[in-house]
Amino acid sequence: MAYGMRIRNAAGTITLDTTTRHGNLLIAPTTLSVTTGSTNIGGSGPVRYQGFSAPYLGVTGITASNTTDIQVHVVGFGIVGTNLGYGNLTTVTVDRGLSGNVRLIVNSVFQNTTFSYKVMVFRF
Amino acid sequence: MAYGIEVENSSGKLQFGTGVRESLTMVASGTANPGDTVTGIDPTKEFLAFNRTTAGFIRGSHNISGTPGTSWSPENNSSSNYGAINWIKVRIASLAGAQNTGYGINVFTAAGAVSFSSNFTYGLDVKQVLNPGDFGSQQGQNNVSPFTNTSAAMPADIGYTITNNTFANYYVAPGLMQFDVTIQNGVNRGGIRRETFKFNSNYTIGVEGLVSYSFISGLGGSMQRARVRQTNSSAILVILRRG
Repeated sequence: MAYGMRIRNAAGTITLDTTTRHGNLLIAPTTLSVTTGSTNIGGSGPVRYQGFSAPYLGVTGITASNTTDIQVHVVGFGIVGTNLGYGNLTTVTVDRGLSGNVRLIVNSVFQNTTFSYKVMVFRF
Repeated sequence: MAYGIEVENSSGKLQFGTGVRESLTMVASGTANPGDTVTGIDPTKEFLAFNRTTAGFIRGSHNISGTPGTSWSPENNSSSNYGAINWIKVRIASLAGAQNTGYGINVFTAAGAVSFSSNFTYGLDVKQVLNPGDFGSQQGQNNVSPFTNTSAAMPADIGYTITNNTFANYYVAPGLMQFDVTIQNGVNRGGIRRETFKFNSNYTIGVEGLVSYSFISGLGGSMQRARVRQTNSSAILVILRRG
C-alpha cells in the first residue's frame, strides 16, 4: 500500500482502506405515503391514477444529476398497499429534481388508494 | 461542514463523516435454496443483499399480499439455476449493537450514532450504485426478436462488471423492483417480484426481472410465455463484502 490508511478488525478483516466506499445514511428509514387520485390520467392507454408523497422529503445536497453521490433506496420489504402481486399495475418512481427535496410518484390502476414505502437516502 | 471530519477514498467518495448519519454493516448471512425462507427481516432498519457463486439467476418470491415483508424466499424452480442464493442482512450500523470493545476506532455522528467502527465484522464496500429507472425498461414476448422463449437467451441490462473474475463476495441490494408493461395486443400487466438478477458467466451482473405469462392471472393457460423486465424503482447497490 503506497499511501493512506487501512483498518482491520480483531479478526484481521479489512473494514476500511483507501478505496472503500461506504453507504452513509443521510435519511434513516422513513415512511412516505402516497394516495392516488380519482382522475384517470391514462388517456387512451391503460387506466392510471397518480399520486405524490407529501410533504417533500428534504435531502441536503441532492440534485437531479448527482445520482452517483446521493441515492434514494426504496426498501423492497417495507411496502404496504393493496394487491401488489402479479397482475396489478402499480409503479413508483423517485422524483429528485426538487431543489433539495425528493418525493415519490405512484401510478396505479387503483384510485383513491394509499401506498406506503420505506425509503433511505445514502451519500456515497 | 462546520466541524468534525470527513474521510474520502482515493476516488473522492465519502467513506464516513461526522456530518452524515450511520453507515451500514452486515449482521447476518446465509444460503437459501428453493423451499427455504429467510426470516426475521426488519424493514424499518434492515434489507437483504444477494449473491451466487456460479452463473445463474437470483429471483425472489413475488406474493407480498400488501403487508410489510419480513421474509424472503428464492424462487422455487426445479432448475439448479435458481438455487443456492447467498444472502447477507445489512443493517444501520448504530442499531447493530455496541461497538465498544476497548480498542480500535469508532467514529460517531454529531448525534452520537456509530458512523464507522473498526469492529465491524466485515467491511462493506459499495462498488456501484444504479440509479432508479435506469434499468429494466426493455421488454419482449415469446419468440419476438430479439427475445426468445428461453431465459438464458434473453439479454440482460448489465448493471455491473466484475473485474477479478469471481462472483465471490459481490452482493446486490435491489430494493423495490416492479414491472408495468404492455405485453401483447395492448394488454398491460404489472406487479412486483422480489430481487431479480442474473449473474452471467462473463462476470457481469444483469438487472433482469423475467415474468412468464403463465404466472400472470387473467391471460389464460394457453398463452405462450412472455418475458418482461422489472424497473428498478429503488437505487440498486452493488456491494463487495470485504474479508
